[in-house]
Amino acid sequence: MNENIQLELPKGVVRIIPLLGGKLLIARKISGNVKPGDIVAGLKKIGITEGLLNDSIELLQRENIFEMPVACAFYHDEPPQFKVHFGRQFSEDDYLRMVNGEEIPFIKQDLQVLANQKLVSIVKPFRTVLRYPDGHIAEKAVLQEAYDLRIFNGANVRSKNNVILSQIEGSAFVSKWGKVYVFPILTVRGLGEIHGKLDDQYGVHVLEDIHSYSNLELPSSVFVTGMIHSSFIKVKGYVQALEGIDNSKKIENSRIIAGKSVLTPHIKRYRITAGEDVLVNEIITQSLIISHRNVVARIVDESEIRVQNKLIADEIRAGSQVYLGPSFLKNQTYNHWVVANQKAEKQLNRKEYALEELKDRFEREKQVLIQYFTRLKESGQKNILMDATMMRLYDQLKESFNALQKQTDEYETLMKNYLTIGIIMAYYARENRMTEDPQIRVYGKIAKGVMISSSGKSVKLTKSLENVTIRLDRASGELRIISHNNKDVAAVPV
Amino acid sequence: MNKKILILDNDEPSVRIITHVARALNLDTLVIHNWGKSLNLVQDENILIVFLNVELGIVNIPSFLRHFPQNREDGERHFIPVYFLFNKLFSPRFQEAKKYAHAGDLKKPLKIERLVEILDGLIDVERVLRYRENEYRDKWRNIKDYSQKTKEFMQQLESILG
Repeated sequence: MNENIQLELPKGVVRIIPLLGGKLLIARKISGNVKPGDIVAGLKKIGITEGLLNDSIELLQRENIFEMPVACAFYHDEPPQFKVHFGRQFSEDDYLRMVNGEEIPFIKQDLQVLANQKLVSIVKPFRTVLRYPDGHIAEKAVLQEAYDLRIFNGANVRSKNNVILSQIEGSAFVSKWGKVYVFPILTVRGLGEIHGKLDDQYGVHVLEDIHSYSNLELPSSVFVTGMIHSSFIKVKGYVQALEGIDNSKKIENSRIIAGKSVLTPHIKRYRITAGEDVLVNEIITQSLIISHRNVVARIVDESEIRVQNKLIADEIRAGSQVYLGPSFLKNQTYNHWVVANQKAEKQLNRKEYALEELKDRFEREKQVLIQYFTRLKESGQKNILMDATMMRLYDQLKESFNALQKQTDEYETLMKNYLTIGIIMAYYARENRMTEDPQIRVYGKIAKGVMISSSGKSVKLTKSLENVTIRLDRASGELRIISHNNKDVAAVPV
Repeated sequence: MNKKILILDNDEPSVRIITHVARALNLDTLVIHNWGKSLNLVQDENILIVFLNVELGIVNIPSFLRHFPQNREDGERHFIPVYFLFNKLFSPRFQEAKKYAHAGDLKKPLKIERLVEILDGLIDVERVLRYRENEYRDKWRNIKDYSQKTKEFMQQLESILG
């Protein structure tokens, strides 16, 4: 950010002024009253999300304070940039083909790896970066020996030099946290209620259907050649069903929660949460879809879609609701990491105080011992070892020394734990940082009555539209419609 | 140890503005209301700059400036600039203080742009910005060094005591 920006808040106006080349941002009150929450929301809208100075922002609501720093750049450790040597990345062209009804490829083969296969290699190492309040970074230095690549070892993999290799043959995936997993694949004809809860350490390939009331909780992926019927499925990897996902029996517990993407031709009456994409080349009907990245579907019918980045469709029918942007998505795993990070820092600080106390004790005892030793020497005592007080002081000092060593080792463990959590969170933040405004792209028709909600606004379309993009302008919070039928039509606010 | 900004003032908004700008840039502040009693405290600190409200009359300006000489004859290395803070341009105390050599004046309410400009001229801001992970690594290095020293001491002691 290099230019002043005027922020219109609900009850006042502030000007955001960048100083020191955008490293420090200050807010100057122009008029009205400002509330800290409004300022933070306003800053986030214009993309100022890093290094917020909440204590300073808080003071801006006071009448006798007119300006305050609101965000400042800071250094942090940046995780490595990986090149993934397996799997399949879907491009915008692939999305377009799905919207046109083209079949989605079976990704089981793409994720299949052999033992000792190179899965991931480092393109850029761990490094120090300067993070500006608007999120962009300036790379500063390579971090030598600060971290071990094994941080990103999920399961059944090993690190060697700058690569992560598989230890077994199986199905692999890289989680949103950068961890690489390989699990063996169990191939079964079908699954049903009779099999009970499946929660073993493998992935599953079902040759026919997953029948109603099945319960799967797996650390890997699920590939189904047939259909998924009214079941509860929770996996860390992908879910792909080649013939569809259907809850015709309307069983309330039917739900799919996938850490990665969900791919299928159609979804009916299901609740689906995906860490990445939901890709459907036919229809989503009467379902609730929550996607932390993109939703691609040929037709969306009477469904609720909560999507962070993009909803791409050929047709959105009446009765559908779209919630656009990250504010409608809860990320419990991320919240767990935040709590773990705070806990780790607290433990580290506590250990530091304990160490300081021990250091003081050790120094005191050391002084006493040295003084006594000098006195004994001066008095001409020949066999110092035989002196009982000397031995007592020595034992005391030895005890403090051992305690100090133990606490030092514990500090190292806690510090490594804290830094590891931090680097994993930094990986997640980097991979999930939004580079574009959230949007809905409809190639065909979006029906009258479709409800679209963004963080600040909800609108119901009063007429149907064709070939449009509905974009959430994060800076202003406005929803804008861009028609692609007539190139001259400018973006109009809804 | 981070460099410190010394503030002699009791006007809360001004103190807060300087403190929060300093905190944003990862600098420490030392706020003093009674100069006479705090002199010894200040002498041990690594002072970067001084902001003095000359209208308060809490210090005798010439004797204060003896601690922070404003002529650069002693060499740049020990130079600590003193900035005078004031409310009213024609206040007698400010007019009197202006006669003594000092680095500059700042009228209240303080403008952060000017404060940052002054600080930017004194330090390389990029070098002082917060780096939390490194702070912990530095602490760990100190702990490890200390641990190594205690280990060597214990070994020596054991060899003496047999």
